[in-house]
Amino acid sequence: MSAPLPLAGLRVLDLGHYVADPYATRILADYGAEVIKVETARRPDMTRKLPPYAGGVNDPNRGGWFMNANYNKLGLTLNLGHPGAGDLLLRLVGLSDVVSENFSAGVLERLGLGYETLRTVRPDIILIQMPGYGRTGPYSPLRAVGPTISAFAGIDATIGWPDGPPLPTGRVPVPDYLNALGGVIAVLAAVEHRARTGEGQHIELSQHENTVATQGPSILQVQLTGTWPERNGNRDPVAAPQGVFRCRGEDAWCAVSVQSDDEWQAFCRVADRPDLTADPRFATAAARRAHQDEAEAVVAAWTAGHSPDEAMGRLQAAGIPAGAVRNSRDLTADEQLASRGYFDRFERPDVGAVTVTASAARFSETPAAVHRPAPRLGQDNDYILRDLLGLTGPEVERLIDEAVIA
Amino acid sequence: MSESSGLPAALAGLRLLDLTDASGAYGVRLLADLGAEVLRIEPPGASTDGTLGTGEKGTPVTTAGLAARYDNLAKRSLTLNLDEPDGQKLLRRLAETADALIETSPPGHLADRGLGYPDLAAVNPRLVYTSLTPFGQAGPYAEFRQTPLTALALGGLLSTMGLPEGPPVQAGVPLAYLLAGQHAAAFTQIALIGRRLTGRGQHVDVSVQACVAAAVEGPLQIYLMTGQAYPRIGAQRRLEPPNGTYACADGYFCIFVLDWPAFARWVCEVLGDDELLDPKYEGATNALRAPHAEAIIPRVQEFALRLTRAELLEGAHRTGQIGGSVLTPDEVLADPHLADRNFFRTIDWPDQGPVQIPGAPYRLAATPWRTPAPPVAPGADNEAIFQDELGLSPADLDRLRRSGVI
Repeated sequence: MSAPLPLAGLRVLDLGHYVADPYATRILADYGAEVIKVETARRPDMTRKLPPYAGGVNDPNRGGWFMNANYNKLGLTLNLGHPGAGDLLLRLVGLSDVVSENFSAGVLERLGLGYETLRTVRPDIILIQMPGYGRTGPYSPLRAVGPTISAFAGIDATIGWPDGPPLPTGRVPVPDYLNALGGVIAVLAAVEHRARTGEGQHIELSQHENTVATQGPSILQVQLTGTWPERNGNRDPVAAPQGVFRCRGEDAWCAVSVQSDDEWQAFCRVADRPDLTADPRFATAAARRAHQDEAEAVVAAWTAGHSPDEAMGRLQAAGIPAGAVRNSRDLTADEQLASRGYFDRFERPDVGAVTVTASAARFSETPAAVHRPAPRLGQDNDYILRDLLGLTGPEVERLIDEAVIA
Repeated sequence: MSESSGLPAALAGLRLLDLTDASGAYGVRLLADLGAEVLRIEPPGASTDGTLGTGEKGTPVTTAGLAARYDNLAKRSLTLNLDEPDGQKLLRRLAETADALIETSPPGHLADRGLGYPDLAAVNPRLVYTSLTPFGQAGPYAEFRQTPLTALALGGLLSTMGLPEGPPVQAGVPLAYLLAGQHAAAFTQIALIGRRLTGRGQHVDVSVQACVAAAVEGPLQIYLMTGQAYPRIGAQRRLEPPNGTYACADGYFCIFVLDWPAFARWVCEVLGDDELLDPKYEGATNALRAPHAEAIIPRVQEFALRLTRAELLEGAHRTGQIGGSVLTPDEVLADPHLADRNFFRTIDWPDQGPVQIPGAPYRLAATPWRTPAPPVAPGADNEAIFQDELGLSPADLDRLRRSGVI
């Protein structure tokens, strides 16, 4: 008999959208929580509307990013803007352990669903709210997305070339993932506390603050030294040479980071440059930093003759940290990720097989699995309304007619 | 650990053994901040000197050096040489009563010393053993070394960062390690909660590469569904104009336009012409404006240069857009919103005096975050743990010190 998943029996009512909340609840679902994603067809989650779409058809049930972030969850359509929706949601809250959301500050309260109201139906409820800038303060009315949080938190200022502008992380909203993980950590702390005491609690995670907390070292550095990690390309303040070097092929690169004198010697052997092993310009880290342009030119001359994987393989075999720069195509073909079964899939009749990224962890006793497809809008309405809440067929029909279920 | 609000700590009573390097230390800190007793275990004599986190003399102070301090606040500190049988014995004794051990050694390294998961599970079946490694415990890259840059490369995030025509470019802060450490902490909590159902711990194998790739799910789905690898897009999103980061009067600003007509009116007011009000630029989504990127982006750049970040932030909010100021770390420290929320905390930095550190990443009402104590010297808790708790004599400790075990 296999062990139950760690979060079996935990029910999460997920009112969130986009990434910061959904990735958190997907991790909870991966490890056994029953996550009910509450949506409305009237304002589909942003990731249902963004390309790409399964089969290239722009349809809210075909959004690729949505499906990757929301598999393993159940889907309910409930139009929270409808005056009749609040009672229904509260009945669900009464059956749930956790409620999560990442609305703008004040939205949940304006819907009449603030923490104290939730407690009236479930005294030990755990509510996590993840507004962009927190529930109070001058920025709290502002809407946020991952890239604007990254800007405000001081991350973007560190990305780019000397004398060049800050470059955002493009299509990857890094703070959303940091904040999703912060959400998981906070919710599970509350779950632990409740297991010990029976007490739930109210959690406020300001996406801005959770992200700034990760930037503590820079904030310390600026106070203690007056400096901070200014844009410096791919260089490191200590290790040299370090960079991203062009390889053979199109848009082909390998990151290389020579961390010690021994590694420099090893590089000289790999690159067949015995003349450089005793060259005083490169003999110590300080010397290599002083002659970074030249050291980098030596590395670049060598990598140019190799593919990224060849360069990585040869350098790693010599004990030098090196990493081929993977793009999304390369990742799907990456042999290491394949060996971990990182790409998994679900089947759903309307879209067929959808490849998704699996958990970043492998648990020895209770491994995660893709056990349920991402939900179509309202896919699990029947189970939730009839089985969980005990509504009759006619009652459900009426709610649909009135556009409460919508 | 240093302030008491009278309220409990969520993870009080849990003891975690922390054998992580820079890739995992911040994640473990998050659990310490929630009240877990974390025993940080490092080799004797290996720590950085001084309070600024520098290594050898003459090495510049770096963000990474300060991270070694910041990431290890709120933890107790032990030194143990795990290459020595006496050191291994002491770790085994600690493992007998610990709840979790989190480590980042190369696969097999601890097992070779009789300290692998099966070894420690034999003395403590309830132990959760989390291994965070660059690529996981097995697979073709399992022995590869990593730095924050190579991890960013192999996880697929680096390829999305930078100018379209240039090499990919990293952040000056270790994004890959932030993603990885937080994942490891969350997975450790999941396993600890799972222990309530099974009575047993387990081995949690986390791959840094997979943690980074998790954040790249958007571009991955683009490739999987369209066959296109997402390109580097630079600062402005030519495929969704005018979204992007622009130079402005006093720095840089990041804007995401949700209401094009309102935005176009604002730009035209500032520039004093009607160009962007031309109906050819209209469209329900920014993607529909992509054919006009070459006309739109330079105008928006001209507009932005006339306004300060404060003016852009106010105007973005007023016209229904999403905006964010690109701040440097000193500006983050001076952010009036964070001041209003009392986000930063003051602690005494050894030899430096009071400094401000980020405060709570999330606010748990019933089990609040606590300001950590100032950084402790490596081995500061050797006597308290090895002598007072495990019963070694002062003479034992002297002998162990002299033989380099602690």
